[in-house]
Amino acid sequence: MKGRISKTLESILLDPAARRELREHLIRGRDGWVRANGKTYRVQMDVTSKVKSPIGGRFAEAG
Amino acid sequence: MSFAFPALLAFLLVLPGIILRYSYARGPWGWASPTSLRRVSEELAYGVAFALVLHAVWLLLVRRLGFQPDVDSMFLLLIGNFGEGQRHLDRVLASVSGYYPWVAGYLVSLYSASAVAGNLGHRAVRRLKLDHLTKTFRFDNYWYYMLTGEVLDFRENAGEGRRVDGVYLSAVVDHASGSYLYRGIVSDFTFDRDGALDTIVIADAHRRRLVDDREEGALRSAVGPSAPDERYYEIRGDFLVLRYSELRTLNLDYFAVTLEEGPAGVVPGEAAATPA
Repeated sequence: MKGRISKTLESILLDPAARRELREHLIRGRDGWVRANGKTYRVQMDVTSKVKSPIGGRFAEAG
Repeated sequence: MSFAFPALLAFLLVLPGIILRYSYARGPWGWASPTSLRRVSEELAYGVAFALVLHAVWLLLVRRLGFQPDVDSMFLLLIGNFGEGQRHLDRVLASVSGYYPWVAGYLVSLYSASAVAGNLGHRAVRRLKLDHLTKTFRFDNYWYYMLTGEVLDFRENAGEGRRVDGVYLSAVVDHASGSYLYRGIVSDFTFDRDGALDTIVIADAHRRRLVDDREEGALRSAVGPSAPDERYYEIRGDFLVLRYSELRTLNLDYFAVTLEEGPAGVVPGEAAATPA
């Protein structure tokens, strides 16, 4: 698997309720919290506000 | 001397450069690594350039080991011209027939060394993250860097990007019944034989009709599982494979997930309403 899915994210995806919570945050593109396995995780969006794309320009703005 | 033989010889001589380029661009088998295969014509041009260097190095090496390659005979074979009255033909034939095992050994060892050198070069660039540091070593595969989030690790983006735990993909796909927005977390992707993006595999796939977009300024329901976005519905299955050729537009969102210190309890901001 070449996609970047960290161990933390993997553990959230394995928990159906946490996965649904995460999905809602991702759909809305807003920061939030997810509970999985008795722990609370913070979901942070917009980690790439000024990142330049490898094909030139700033693709974050285009998105 | 047939026309095909000089062409075959030229191919055998250029082959080390092609092998070096291919093994460098392809990377080790089984590695999740960017591949950057170019068109055959481009690969051939690179192959010729690299082959010249490789032969120069290999000739020096084998001479140090005591083997004296008959470079003149090789050139005569290559151009297929043995002088007036074929006066050099006997010398060339004697050289080829007398040293055939050595010539074969020279070529095979050079092919092997080229493959190993290309492979090691790829490993070194990836291990030392040289492709993140400079564009010189960056593989010609921007999809890999974008779909894995490695684009954030590039030197020119230093200090801008943060840790990425996942890549959230949104793609529009046209169906007979209308356009749909497919979304999910990028799990894997594949390239075709030409190195172009072929498929994207997403986990936790969900979709909605594109016409269900919200009006500008409309209020959103509360964030959290208590009020899921009703426009979307989950696609049953572990993974969904999207064919790149069928995607109309594609958007990527990088996100981070960090463990909050302290006891798990009330989740802050869960009931807050946010504008669309």
